Amino acid sequence: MQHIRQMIRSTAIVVALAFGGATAHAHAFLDHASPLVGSTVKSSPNEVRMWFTQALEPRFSGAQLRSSTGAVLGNGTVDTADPKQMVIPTHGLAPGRYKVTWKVLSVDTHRTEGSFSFEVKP
Amino acid sequence: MFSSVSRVVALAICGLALSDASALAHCFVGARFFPATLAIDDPCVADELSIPTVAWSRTSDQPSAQQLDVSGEFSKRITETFGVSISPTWTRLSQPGSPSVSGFQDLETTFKWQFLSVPNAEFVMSTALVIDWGGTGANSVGADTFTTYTPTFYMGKGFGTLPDDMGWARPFGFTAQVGYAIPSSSSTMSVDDSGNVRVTPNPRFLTYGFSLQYSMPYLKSNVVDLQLPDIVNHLIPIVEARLQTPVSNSFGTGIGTSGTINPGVIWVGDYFQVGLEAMIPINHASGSGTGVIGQLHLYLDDMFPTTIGQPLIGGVTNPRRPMFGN
Repeated sequence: MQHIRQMIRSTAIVVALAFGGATAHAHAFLDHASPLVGSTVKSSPNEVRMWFTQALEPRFSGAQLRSSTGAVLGNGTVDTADPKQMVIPTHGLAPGRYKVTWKVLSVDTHRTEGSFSFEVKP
Repeated sequence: MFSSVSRVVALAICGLALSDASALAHCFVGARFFPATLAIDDPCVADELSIPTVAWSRTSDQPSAQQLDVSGEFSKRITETFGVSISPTWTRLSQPGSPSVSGFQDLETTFKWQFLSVPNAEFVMSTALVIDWGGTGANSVGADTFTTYTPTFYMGKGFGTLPDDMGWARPFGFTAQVGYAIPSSSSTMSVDDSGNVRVTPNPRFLTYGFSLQYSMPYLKSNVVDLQLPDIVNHLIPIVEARLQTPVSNSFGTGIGTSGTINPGVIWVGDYFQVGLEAMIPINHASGSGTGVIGQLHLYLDDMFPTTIGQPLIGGVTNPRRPMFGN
């Protein structure tokens, strides 16, 4: 039982260090987006906005909006007001299916990437 | 001879060329995240700490003994794609009518090389040499007196490459491992209470396993956001299997294929994950009744990104180019 107590004590110390540390950061995951991932919207959105779980490095984070034919319709940049958000401006998207691809670098240099689709219906 | 050597060298060079030099720390391959699995090892090299992993089961003995295993594993990247891990396990056996015995199993170390990572295909492969150091554990809990070397291959594949109209299947992921356990000694000699010398062969085993997992985080961020409760969006339901089959030097031992099938779930957070699985023996030789295993697993690369969470050689990942030309 002494070994178990030692293991529990060690775990508690590591967890305390981890969550007490001010420098801890994690991978940036896509938390949600507007339009919603996989959704269908009735009219063209003015922008595609993505919310991430961590702040992003603007110089090394980006996104692209593509049509169903693969044409690039817009590039995303990190929102200067909130580095956890990325925005792709859109200009009157016609009805159809669109794909957003993103690659980001969180402020602690962890890379993540992903993609999702949404549809604009007349 | 030379052609086979050159093929191996070419394959190694090809693997190095294809491997992503800026590895993503714990097991990310493209948009896919493979969690640390409880019964088998994940296919990546990472800075991680599993502490504790607690497993409870009943042995196949008559009457069956209760077995409690408490283990930890510390994994450290030496470079972005090569790492080592060390894993001690403490065991307590409690048999009805007998005093319980406890002690450490043989210390296990793993030297692993993640030689292939194809982000667009969500595909990863690695190879390792797993060594169980004989004589470092207690005989009373069944630790071997001989060392066992197990060259092992690992792979992981995400189904995110399926077409959009099969979106429901894209969150599936599959990992597998296969190894060949080679004991350092072909037999073990012992003397029973009557003074008789007994020689027991040490079989070579094929060790293998897999996991099939369904990633709710992948579903939410890459397929469809169903606006489910947050706790559900962090879950990865999983089924694991870990098996071993004797392949040589087992004649007369009566040892056959054994292992467990483990259905369960893993909750994945930013800095750690928690897993819980049932352990269902595939036959009587694998145990009596269903056991349970739980694990707390810490992502050291996220917790300590500038110190112990980065490789000893290579340091923090240096981004080589801006994304999408920004």
